[in-house]
Amino acid sequence: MSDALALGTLLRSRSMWAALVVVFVVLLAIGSAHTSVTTRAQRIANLENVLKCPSCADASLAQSETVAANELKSTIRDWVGQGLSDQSIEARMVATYGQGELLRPTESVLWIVPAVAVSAAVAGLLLFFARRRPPERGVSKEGEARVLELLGRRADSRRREVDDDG
Amino acid sequence: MARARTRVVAAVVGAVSIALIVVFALRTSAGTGTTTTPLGGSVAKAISGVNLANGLPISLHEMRGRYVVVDFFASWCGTCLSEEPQIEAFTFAHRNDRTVGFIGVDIDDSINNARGFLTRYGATWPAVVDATGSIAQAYGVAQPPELFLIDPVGKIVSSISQPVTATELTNWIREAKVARA
Amino acid sequence: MNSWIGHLGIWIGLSGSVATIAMCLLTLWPGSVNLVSRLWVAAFVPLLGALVATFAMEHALVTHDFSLAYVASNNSRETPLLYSITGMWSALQGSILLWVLVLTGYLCAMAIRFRARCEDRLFVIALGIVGLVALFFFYLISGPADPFAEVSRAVADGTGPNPLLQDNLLIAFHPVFLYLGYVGFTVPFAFALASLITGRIGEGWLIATRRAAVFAWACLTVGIVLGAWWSYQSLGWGGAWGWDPVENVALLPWLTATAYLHSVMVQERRGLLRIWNLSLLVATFSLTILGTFLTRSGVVVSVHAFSNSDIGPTLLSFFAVIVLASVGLIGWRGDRLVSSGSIDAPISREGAFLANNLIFACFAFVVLLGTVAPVIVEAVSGGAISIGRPYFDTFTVPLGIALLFIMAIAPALPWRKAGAGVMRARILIPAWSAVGLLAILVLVGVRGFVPLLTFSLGGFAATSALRQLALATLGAHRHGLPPWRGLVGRANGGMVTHLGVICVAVALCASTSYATRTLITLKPGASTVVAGRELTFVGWQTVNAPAAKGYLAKVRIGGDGIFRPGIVNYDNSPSSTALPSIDSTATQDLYLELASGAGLGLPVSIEVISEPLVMWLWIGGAICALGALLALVPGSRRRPTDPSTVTLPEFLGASPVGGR
Repeated sequence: MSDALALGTLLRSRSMWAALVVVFVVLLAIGSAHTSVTTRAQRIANLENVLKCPSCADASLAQSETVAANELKSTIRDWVGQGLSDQSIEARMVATYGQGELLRPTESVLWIVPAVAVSAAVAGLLLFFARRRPPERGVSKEGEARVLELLGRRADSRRREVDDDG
Repeated sequence: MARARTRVVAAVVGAVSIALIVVFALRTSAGTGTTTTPLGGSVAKAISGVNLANGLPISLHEMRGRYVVVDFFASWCGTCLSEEPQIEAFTFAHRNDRTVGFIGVDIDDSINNARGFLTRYGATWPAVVDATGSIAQAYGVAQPPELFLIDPVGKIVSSISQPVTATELTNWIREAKVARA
Repeated sequence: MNSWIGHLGIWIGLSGSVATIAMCLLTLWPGSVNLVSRLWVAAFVPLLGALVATFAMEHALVTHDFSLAYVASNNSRETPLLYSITGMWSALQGSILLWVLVLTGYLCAMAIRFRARCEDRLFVIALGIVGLVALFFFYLISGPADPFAEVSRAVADGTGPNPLLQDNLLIAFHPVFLYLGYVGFTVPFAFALASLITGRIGEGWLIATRRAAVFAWACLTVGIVLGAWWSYQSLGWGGAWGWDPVENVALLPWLTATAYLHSVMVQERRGLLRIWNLSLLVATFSLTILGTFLTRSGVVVSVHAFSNSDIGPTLLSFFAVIVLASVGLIGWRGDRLVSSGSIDAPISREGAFLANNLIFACFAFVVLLGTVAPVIVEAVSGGAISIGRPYFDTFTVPLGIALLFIMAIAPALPWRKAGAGVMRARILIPAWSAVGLLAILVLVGVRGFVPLLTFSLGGFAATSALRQLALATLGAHRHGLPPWRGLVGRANGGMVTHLGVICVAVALCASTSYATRTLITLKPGASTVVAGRELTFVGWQTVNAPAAKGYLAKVRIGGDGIFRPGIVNYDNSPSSTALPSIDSTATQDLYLELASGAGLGLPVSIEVISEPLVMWLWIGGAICALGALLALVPGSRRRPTDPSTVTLPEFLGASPVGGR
């Protein structure tokens, strides 16, 4: 296998990957446009998901069908109809029922800790692999070429495919 | 190196677990706590209706000048049933006390059930039915029983959402009077 | 009488557990004879005790013996036979009896399975550890949560089970599968601890307990999916998953166990990640105990939780012992397990498994934090907070999408290192098919960032899994084996499970993203159209069962027949119970629930929730279970790979267990 052919293969595959990513992102962007406008029904649904049903053990208003929850839902519908913002509706509910009324905690530490944990995990993984490179027990280019030559590339790749799902 | 790292990680995990266990242990021994209403200090919303005990109109507003205990209850609520004798004892003890008032609010319930609840136990205290649920909503009542203490100028002092005794109710009012004086 | 037999059973179990532990200890005593090789049948005694106790409980329930407090509060004369039988796990004490039954069953199975390895200290210690766990649970039902306590005053009739526990057949299956899953992880956990105690670094115990782990995982998966299905049918809000504490604590061990099932392959193949795998098993088992504590002690509140009880401190102490003993053992012995090898390249099978494990660990961390944070915040600042869907979704949706991506890539990656050629040959085509799927979805008008990302990555992962299955089937054919051979074995069964998980992910995303709610009011005979279906209100129907009274609204939906959402008052419950009715099809569910009062002659008011693809949640769950079953069938190709560190006798000892 000549170097030029290998380079060509590499370039072709590079461009294929690049094209893949570009098409994917463009399609996703098209598909997610126009979804940022929230309708009144969506706002009500969001509020019902964020606000706890005060008389329930552990359920949002959306998940609850008790008499008290249904009354609160109609109150929220009225407030949305009167043009109150989500923040002021949440504030009203918190003022009446306490901080436990919000199912989205306001303690910043509860948001920071998982975010930090996830970032640390990703950073740790990247660092781990950055330190491993280059592999200590690698095979030299010549050696690899020789092995491939001996085995025959096609046969090798076919066998590896069938074999390596362990 | 690897050995030390394993130990450090194990020690950290152990420490975090112990902290968690201590928190849980404290929590289990603490039992159910009193929740105080976020409405403390704000003006109590109006309560009015027909007194189930005698059929006459009654309102919170006409009790201005007294410390008023507002008791949100329901006929289906087990704790309300078990604490009814205490409520009766409390209202009976203060029946001639011009500084103390009481009003029960029946929520998430039907008038017939509420009436049955009161007659079954021979209750004499005044109670209204919150048919639309608006009173419970205004007071942020999550679960009956919940009791609110309103001061003589009509502001909410605090609330109790666990079973109470007549003595505790009397002490509650006494403490509020002391705090105000 | 039943109380007497029940207590007898518990005492048989207690003494049997003590005997098992004593037998193991005596065997381990230096210079003593191996008692386990002669007396391994003693491990059957706890099962015998549990069976006697279970028999007593079922007999008491079926014959309505209200002299038992448990029967009096969970059964009544009107309770039908089936719900009398399931009454055993309708409340706390009985459910711990079920736990004990399952655990002693596993203990017994373990004794039978490994009786040929009685000379092995590792097995003797593991058996002793399972015996200890059994002793603890027998202790729980002998005192703190005694299901056979008698009532102080005789009652004529019991109160009957909770209304939600007597209208759905799933109560006969969901708890049983859930407990088979929870408890099943005791076996690999015991082997993990035993390997730490002996300091044995071989991979033998992993292979030995692989089946147990896969079986427990399958049962846990089925248990969780059935639980979600039951919630969906009963709770009346049209969703299957509410991030409720009880749901979360079932998910936690599932997450760590799933991580384990992946990372254990790295250890078997390469001898790496040993401490990590041990930790995952310890975490899985500890989390089942922590979950039981959280939901059974009243520390967290939940719609699914049993009433408060006094077993909290006991369970918490047990949890503390497990965690501290395991962490101590890992700290003490862990250094012996550190392997010399290492993962060479990020773009490799083991690299993908590592990423997968980190995501699962983060996922579990977020779920655990969200579940216990209200308790911690209250302890620290005294304020009450609530954590629900908005919090969990913020973290778990991105993590779930990342998992789908890894799931698409990993099966195609070779071990050790992947070259550009391999990537192109194996991934580019599935990747372009994902892009093609995305293009089609966008063209037909599907909108939304998260749904489109989920669907396309789901398509990517599905193509990847199907490709592996096709290759394996072709490979089997080429080797002269029947094609179904390409579907069995752990790798291929795993791919089938991936397909199931993709179904669940897509269905969950579609049903939550595109749900619509409509409130309709109809007079008898009138019809309207909701979500493309014609709904006709036929009329009211009264419910007049012995223990329940109420109304059902008969609603005809298109040609699918009559559906009956209703509202029922059970005699033993003060509030009425709504009975939703669901018209379920492959593409869309219409979830009907009465929205207001009911009565003959009145118009009906119904909330109609239309959700696409909900049925695929349950189908996906079934495919997951099927995949796990296929993974339990010995594969056709490879024997367990022997890592470089294993000693020959150990490998020989292990090989009859782990496949061909």
